[in-house]
Amino acid sequence: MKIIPLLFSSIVLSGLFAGCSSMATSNDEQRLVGNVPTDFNVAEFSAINPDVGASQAIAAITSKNSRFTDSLTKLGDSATGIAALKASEDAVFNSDKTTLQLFWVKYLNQPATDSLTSADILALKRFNIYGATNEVEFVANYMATQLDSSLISDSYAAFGRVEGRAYRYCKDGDPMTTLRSITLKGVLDGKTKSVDYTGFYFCQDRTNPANLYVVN
Amino acid sequence: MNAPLVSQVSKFAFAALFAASGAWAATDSLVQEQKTLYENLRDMDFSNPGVAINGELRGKFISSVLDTNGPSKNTEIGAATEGDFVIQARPTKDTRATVMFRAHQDWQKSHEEGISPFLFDWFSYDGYTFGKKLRFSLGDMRVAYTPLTLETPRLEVLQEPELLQKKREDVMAYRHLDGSNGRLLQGLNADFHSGSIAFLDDIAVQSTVSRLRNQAKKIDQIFYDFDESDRYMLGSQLGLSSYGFNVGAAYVNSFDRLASAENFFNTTMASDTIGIENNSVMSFSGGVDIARLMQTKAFDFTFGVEYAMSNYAQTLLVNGKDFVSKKILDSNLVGIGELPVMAHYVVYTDINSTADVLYKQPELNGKALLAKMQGGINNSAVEASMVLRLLKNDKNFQSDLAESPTYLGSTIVLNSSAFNQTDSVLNMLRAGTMENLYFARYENNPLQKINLVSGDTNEVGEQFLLNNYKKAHFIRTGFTNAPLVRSEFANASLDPAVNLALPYGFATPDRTGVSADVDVLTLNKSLELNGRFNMLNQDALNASYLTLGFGAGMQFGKFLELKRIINVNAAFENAKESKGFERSSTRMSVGTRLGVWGQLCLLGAYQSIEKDYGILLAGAKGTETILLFGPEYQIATGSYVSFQYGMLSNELDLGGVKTTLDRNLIAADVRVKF
Repeated sequence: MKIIPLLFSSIVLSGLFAGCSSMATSNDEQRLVGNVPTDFNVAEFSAINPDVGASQAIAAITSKNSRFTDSLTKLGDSATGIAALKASEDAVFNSDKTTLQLFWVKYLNQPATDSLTSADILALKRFNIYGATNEVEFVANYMATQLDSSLISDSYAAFGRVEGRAYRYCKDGDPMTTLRSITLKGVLDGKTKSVDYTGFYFCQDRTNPANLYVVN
Repeated sequence: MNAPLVSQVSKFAFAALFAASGAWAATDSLVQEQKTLYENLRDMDFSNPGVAINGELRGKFISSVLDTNGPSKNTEIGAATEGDFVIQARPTKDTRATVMFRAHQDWQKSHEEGISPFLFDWFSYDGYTFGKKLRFSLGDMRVAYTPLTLETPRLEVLQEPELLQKKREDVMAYRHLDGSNGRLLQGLNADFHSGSIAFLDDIAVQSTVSRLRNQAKKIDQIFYDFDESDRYMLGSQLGLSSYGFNVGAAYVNSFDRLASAENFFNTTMASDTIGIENNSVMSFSGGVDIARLMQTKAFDFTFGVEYAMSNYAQTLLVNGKDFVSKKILDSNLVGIGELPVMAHYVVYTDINSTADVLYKQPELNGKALLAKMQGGINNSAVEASMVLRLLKNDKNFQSDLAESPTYLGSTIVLNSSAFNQTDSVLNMLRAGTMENLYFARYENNPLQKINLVSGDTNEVGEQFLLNNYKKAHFIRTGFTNAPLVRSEFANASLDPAVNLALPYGFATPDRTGVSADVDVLTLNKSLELNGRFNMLNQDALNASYLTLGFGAGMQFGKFLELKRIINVNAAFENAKESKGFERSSTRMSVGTRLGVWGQLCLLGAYQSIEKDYGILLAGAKGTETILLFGPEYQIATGSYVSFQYGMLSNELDLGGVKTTLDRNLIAADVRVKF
């Protein structure tokens, strides 16, 4: 896995400073040119969309949990015993409302709510690390030091554009007139259950983060 | 050495309509006439069955002493003997098989161990068959269709001093670039012309299959210039012409092969994602020869239009680590009143780690329009030509094989061992435009760890890199003949001093505007005047480009009917980008050739380039000046000895930090054509 510090991974600059004498094409930044805006910056995108980085922490936890299960199996624990252990750990995790709210707001980027649905709990459960109680520290540390910027760029190029994510904050000179909406041309395009915002780039209003505007 | 091959460039009726004007521009010197005569003589040799060996032997010397305002001082000496060989076998009068190879011996290394290998870089079999109606090329070849489908954008340096022009020809020849608009390909090309049938002047059908880039490499080969693609091209065009009208259609498809891309996951490649790119372009063109319709030979007047549609699709092939989409939640994400969508993320998991996954990126479709009007007069008093082009190219137009530039620049050519290699900005900009345009360093070095591996040596496994003292050919040059793909284009248009407005030729995406060329040859063909003008807009950056160029060349000797050669030419070019990145450049040049006595001439060249990278590189600026002069003595037709002394200075201003690179240059060469 190639880990690139977020601050240095602005697409424009790294694209420019890469030497031209080499014809190597394996560079992630070069590969993404054309699929992300020229002023795309991973750090700014991550600040606006913390859930994209958090998805990597979730993947790491999933992987840790699967190794935890494997090692218990190797030690001779029965499948039912392991399931029971996980269920009891889930119960503890789910009862800690403060931690759930933290993950819900800070890492899943959702508005604070007192009434998490069972589907929401299911989504949050994936932050639970079995055999440990340091989920908050683990995720915070992971987000600070382990994030793979190329995956974040990939997420934006592959899904974020379709989902209509804002890739930067709005700045002076942005018209900030057209809000993101499914009524934008081509977004629904005959579909009734899914949207496709590929035709637009969006910026996020700093003062009112709920407002995403079309960038020209 | 490339002269016989120029004729292999496609000469379709409609391609010819678009061919650049002013073939006589900047080359109409006595030397050129002699060269042409000499090549005609060689062509006569080639017209009979048999075997011919010819080429050029060169002895070359260059010394570049670099002095900077910092602690760096660096001396680089390149001294070598080099032979370019062309072997042609003609089994019949109409076909020929050609092999080209090069031998190179650096003087300093002549006693090092190991054999000095030949470099074979051209194999072709081409000629005419089917009653001369079908022209075929097999192997290496140059092919051009139309400016929007398949051709090489030309690099024009208006009224370039002859001394520098010759240097650039040599540098480009290392990459088999001959300055023509033919795209270097390697495959099979068949070009059929019916000749006159009923009311039609010609029916033309051409098809081309070509390999474009590196083959998949062997697993144990670890080399810096890894190319992850095995890329091919398929193309065809049709044309009809009658009574001065012609219509044509062309289709070009270039694509990476998935199977070869998968091979790279077996090696120790740093990347785990490979972009597989597929580009297709369909174009329709039409033209009319108005002068012919008017049945006049007093002037030329043609009009042509090409309209092209392109599709670009990139598929990401992701190795090992799973490329998964995860359902996170199914409500609220896009806000109240809108449809709920599922959020998806790209993450690594260590589950299913053996499957490679293909992910299709959104496709890009674009259109481009190029209209060209060309008029000219040609009589005993004056030859004049004017070309006016109108362009309207979409942002998403992509035609790799029409856009790929040959000049990349930013290669550190001279004194590469000076400076700390880690300063990336200085390293990128210190390689000046003129260094890249006029110099290349060619060496034949023993292969060893240091030149086999650059970059991340930890991944390589150094135990496999025992020195074996085989020699291999190495070159540092700013030119390439490999067609780029879209994901590489961002790196290829950096230098504001070369083709700022149209870095990828007339197929450059996102350009709307006009381009005009005017060329005049008069006073008994002794005075040549050129004008160049571009005014183009780029929507995505809200930028506009304005390019102005003026050139003049005078053969005073010819004009005054002296036996002595007195040629002077000069040019001024200015290119400016308003808004956008706000880059700009200005070039001024003066060149001369003076006949001194007998076959002895004195050549001189002065050229300065001022460039501003604008906000692209935080206001970085560069000023380059070259002054080169020296004698040239013609020993016999095709054999020269020349010597030059001069200076090349490059002043860089990187946000107030000034770096001065002053070079003293001494160059000498002996060349013998055979």
